[in-house]
Amino acid sequence: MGILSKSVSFCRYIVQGELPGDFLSWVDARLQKYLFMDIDDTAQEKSVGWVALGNLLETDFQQGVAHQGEYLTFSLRIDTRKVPAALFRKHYLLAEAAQLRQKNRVMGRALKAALKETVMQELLRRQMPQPQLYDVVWRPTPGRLWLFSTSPKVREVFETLFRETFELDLYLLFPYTLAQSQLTSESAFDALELLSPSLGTPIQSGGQDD
Amino acid sequence: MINLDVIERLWNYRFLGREFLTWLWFKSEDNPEGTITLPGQEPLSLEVGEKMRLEVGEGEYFQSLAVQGSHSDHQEARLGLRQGKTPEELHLKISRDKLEWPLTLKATTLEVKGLKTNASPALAEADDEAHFFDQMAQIEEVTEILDRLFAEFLRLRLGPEWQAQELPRLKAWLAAEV
Repeated sequence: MGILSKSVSFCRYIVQGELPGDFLSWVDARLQKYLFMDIDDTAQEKSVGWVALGNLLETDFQQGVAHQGEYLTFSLRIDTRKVPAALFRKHYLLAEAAQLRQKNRVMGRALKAALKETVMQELLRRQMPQPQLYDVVWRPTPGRLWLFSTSPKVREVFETLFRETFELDLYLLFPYTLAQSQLTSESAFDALELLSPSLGTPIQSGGQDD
Repeated sequence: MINLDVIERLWNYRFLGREFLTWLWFKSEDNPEGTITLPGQEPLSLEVGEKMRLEVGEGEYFQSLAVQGSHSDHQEARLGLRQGKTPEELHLKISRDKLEWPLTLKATTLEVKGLKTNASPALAEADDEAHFFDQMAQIEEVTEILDRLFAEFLRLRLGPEWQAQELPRLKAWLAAEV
């Protein structure tokens, strides 16, 4: 569910690194370089890239489409072709039977592996890719970013593409990193490093267990 | 600033997120109004909602308890807490001024799921740009509240007050019959 939905889900990041002077046009150029490339007319299994916020088809970032006030907004588009296991099995058995009829001998392991690959490629080419869209909102000052997905797989794809696109440091905010971003004294950092759980063991009912 | 060994840190500091969620639950019941006043902030109200997931152990000793229901069903979850389980996901309702935000907070990653904003339906229908800024203002407000709550928890958790006062009070709350 994207940023404009009634119900939103997200994880957060800290973005760090030196930003160029002509930051906005640099962002546009970087997004343009890593924009989403359509794979409808290919046999490619997967494609990932940037599109305009919430717009599957808009890949022109040159007119400042990503600038919204103090935010930069765009979406991660992931297209994936998938071959259902049962469909693959059926077509592999058909291809194997055809080979047996043709050559009249049992196939070795290497030939079977090659046939599996051929069948998979053929089926992939015939499947339409499924598009998925995940919104990204980045506030360069003070370097905060929201990814509107909570899937670890999407997070991984996003982190890889973001780092490749902008060559900036990107850190997921979770208890340790959020704590690090909030602490200011050396002694507090040390205390965080040495911290151990104080809950998670059974407690006696009806009284204080300390 | 930040150690790059993210996965190890994520795993090793899960307890900190789960203690934070337990503390939020404790704070929501710590005073009759369920309000918390953070330094320099308007008071806010916290209410634990109808869904939560508690976990304990790892590998073959892993146990999970999903609880869904009204406040009376919190008894089962409180029993789970007393048995050493800690919350991995907690449904919360945060209120400030006249705004109310229901959401689910996940302990390990601090992800927010299912945050319902108070967006105006008319605005959402009529103007995408205005709707975007309205949504982001609320998302920023909620994340700022969560960050401030975490900062207050962290201040207590890393200081002497935790062992001396806050933890004994929290354990007494856990041990009390509902």
